[in-house]
Amino acid sequence: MKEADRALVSQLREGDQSAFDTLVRQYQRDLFRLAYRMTRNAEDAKDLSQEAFLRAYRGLGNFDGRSSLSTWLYRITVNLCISHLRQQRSSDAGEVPETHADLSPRPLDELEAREIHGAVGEAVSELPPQQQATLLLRVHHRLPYREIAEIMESSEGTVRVNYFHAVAKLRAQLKGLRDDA
Amino acid sequence: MECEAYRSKLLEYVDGDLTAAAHAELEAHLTRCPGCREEEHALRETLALVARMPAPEPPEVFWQQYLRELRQKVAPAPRLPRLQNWLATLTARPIPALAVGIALFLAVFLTWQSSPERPPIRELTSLDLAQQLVLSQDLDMLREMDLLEEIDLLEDWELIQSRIIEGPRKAT
Repeated sequence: MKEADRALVSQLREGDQSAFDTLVRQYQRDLFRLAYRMTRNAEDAKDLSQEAFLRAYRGLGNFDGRSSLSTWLYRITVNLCISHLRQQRSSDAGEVPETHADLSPRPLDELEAREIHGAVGEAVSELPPQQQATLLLRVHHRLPYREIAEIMESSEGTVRVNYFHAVAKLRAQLKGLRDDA
Repeated sequence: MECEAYRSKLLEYVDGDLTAAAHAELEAHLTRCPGCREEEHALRETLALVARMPAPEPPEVFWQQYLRELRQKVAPAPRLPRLQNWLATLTARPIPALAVGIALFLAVFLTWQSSPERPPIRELTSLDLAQQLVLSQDLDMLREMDLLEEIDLLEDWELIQSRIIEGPRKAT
């Protein structure tokens, strides 16, 4: 664990309110974006990332410092998102997720871009949650396999296999979009 | 190495995750093999599409509200009234509370035990009276036994006395 993380954890354990503010400000964007890309819903992303901070704060006693603070926060967020997606999939199987479409007039290329983003988001959301999290942590958060393995609480080999399968599925599903692009 | 083997390493190649030697070998193959080159291009485009997946950039006011909500959720609960607070302390620390309770009980009990004027515990029942009667009979018997012993002693005394008197006579 980094020295800055260690100091922050120590302050948090002493109940320092400003340390909690620092923790939130430092990681809020990363956790919110990860949750948003997994759920494709801003409201869910806000709730899930806030819940991750609360769980981290309340579970400080369980944080042994073997992983970094960011790895620990990502792990809590990923677990919350995976559990949320599983619940959502079992409750509204077959329904198309709400994407909060903005129907205001926009230039043609922007509309095309939105369609492409929508199709990519749709394809990613169809991946199994473990593969989805692995792909997003690798591509968007640029994390090494070793750290993703710590977040996913699995081996580096499993992470590599998940990533490989995720990309292979997307490659097949997005073939039409690549040809258009 | 066959194309299939090279293709299994393409993702690592695109990610820059191969060793320098493996990277150079695959790169050399790609210059010679249009099929593998096409595959590499498809992978790069797929990853680029994923990388362009948008996420909202909320304004600063959103983050202020976000933090305010979190602060409220982690804030300590409001103070309980005095009795509730006391009960909450007891339930939160059951072992020390139990120890104090036992100590208090023992202190009261021992004080009561050592008091000369302690109140009767219960009224005497017929069974208790009967037991006491038996005890009193036993006492009478014991007294008689003592008396018998005394009589025996007296008899012995007489014998001793006679021996004492007779003793000097024999000597003379």
